[in-house]
Amino acid sequence: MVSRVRPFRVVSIGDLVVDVILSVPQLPVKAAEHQILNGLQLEPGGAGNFLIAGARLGMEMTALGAVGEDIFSAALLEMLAGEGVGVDGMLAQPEGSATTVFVLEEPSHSHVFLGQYGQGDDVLLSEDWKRRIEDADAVQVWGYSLNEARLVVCMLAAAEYAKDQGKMVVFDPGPLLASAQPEHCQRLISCARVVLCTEEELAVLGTHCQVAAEPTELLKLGPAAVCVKQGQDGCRVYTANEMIEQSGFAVPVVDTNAAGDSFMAAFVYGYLSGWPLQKVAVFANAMGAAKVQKFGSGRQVPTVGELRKVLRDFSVDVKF
Amino acid sequence: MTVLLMGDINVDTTMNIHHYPELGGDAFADHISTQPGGGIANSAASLVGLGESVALLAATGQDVWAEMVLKPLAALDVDLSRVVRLPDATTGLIFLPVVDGERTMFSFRGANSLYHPDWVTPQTLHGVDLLHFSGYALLASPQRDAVIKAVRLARDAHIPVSLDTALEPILQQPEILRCMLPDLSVCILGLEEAQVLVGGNTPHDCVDRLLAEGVQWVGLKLGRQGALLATKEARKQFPIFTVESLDTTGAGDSFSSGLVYACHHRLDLETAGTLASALGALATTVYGGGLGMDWRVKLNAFLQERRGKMGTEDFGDGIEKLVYFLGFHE
Repeated sequence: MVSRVRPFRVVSIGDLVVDVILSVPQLPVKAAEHQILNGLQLEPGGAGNFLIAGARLGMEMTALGAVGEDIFSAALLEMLAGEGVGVDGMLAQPEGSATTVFVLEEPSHSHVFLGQYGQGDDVLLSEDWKRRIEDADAVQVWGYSLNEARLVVCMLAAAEYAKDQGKMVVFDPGPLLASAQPEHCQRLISCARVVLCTEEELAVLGTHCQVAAEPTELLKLGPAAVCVKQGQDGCRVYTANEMIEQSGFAVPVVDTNAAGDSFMAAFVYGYLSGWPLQKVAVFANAMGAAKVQKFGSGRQVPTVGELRKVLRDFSVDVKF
Repeated sequence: MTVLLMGDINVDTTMNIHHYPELGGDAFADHISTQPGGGIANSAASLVGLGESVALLAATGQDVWAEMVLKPLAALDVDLSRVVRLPDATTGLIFLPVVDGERTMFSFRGANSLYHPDWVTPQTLHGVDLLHFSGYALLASPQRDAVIKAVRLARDAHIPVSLDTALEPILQQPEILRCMLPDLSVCILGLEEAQVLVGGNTPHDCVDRLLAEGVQWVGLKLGRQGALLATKEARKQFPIFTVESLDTTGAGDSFSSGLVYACHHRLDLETAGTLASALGALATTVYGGGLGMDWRVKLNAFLQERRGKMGTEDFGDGIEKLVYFLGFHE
């Protein structure tokens, strides 16, 4: 457990995305026609959900990664900074760009994604980033960033450096892990103290790490805890000594987008607090439940008030 | 004296993709580019290149997007004193997915449509000797009401008025546009737009009807067939210039600039059509609407390359007259 004389410090490396949500009149797209949008919203996506959710829980969240000097990059940094996320360690590459995803969404909330991975020169693990890792209580790494060519080597080095420094490394494999190199995945697993994944991601982890797709098998590779997220059904958390199963909160589901990232921020908060795993799981489930009751991502992740409401509605006593 | 342009200021984002995904699916872009644009911003750039003094009547947010489009305009000495910066609005943004060269346009009009009629006063038109507006400005109030007021004030002050409209504004606001026709010195539109607005089967039918409504100059755009220009006294069809085209964004806006300039300087039809066609063609040789282009230099080179050359006969003496009028012969 980290002392609470100061807020928890969490560094997240990579997976920074700009979501541009275009409210189109209808889908499929009417190709070659001019369509007036009903609305438009820019939001930090990917790690942005996690960073904002963590900041709202009172943690000092720092984003590390690379963007460009393009206008979407500028907008992304402005939005994160506006939510209290530290962005002064971010690299703005002159010829680079941010990973940008255009979400075309029709009134029924069906959507398609048009996007571009961020581009730019390869990033090296700098002394500045090392110092930020040394100052952190937890370092979050992302399977998504194993597909972000400029950042792969740096993120692996950062994870290994964080482990060497005795920092808690948290690994979210994400749904695109299958396209990453198995060796990269193995290196991240060996650095991770906590792995948070879905059942589907667990299967890919098993394949990449050449073990059975079981949390207990992953634990043998280094992590102290593996949390398997199960959506509305809650989660299971495995350690070498125990397995706890915590059911989810029965709330009306409006939008599951960013629920996993919000869950993870709360999980990291609880884990750093040194709470019993059951309590950590309840807290993280409550954060996920707060998210699914509202539309959107980025700055629409739950507020502390919305999280407290879930806890209150279900008579759960978690002080934070 | 100034040409006042009223309409939309936008930032255009173009992305090349291979296909549109199924619902819930992804498509990855090879390239995303973001350019300052919007009809009146594009027109302003080419008009400034021709030596015009240009002012804009528009609204933006107070955001990074506004900076992106207003900075290059300010660098061109475009008068932005009538541009309203709204604190709680987003600057207009256009998204253009391109699949196999076919562009689909999604526009978020944002601050543009919030331009308020209270901001248009007789003082707004002080020193203005031509008001040009975009039909898109009629799509929604309060901007629509501001346009109606500006056109009325211009008419009362005997200031010529020019309109460039696409189909959507005509479909949405046909009566307002029909009522404005007698006040228009210049009306620039496509054949389908003209057919919806005034009827008529052929381009000449449409031109006859627009002139009968009181429009002084008609610029009827005919796609690959070029354009038909007409006044009560004369009419002439112009082909399109052949150029190595990269991106059609801003071609129509620059074509309009040519006609606005021609009206302002009372050029003859041959010269006017040549200028509009040349500017429209030049706009397609760069990505975006051409805010970064040195229009005067490019136009000079464009015309010099074609002086006396085969294949330019349809422009008559337009190229030669334009070269002399713009001082490119010296």
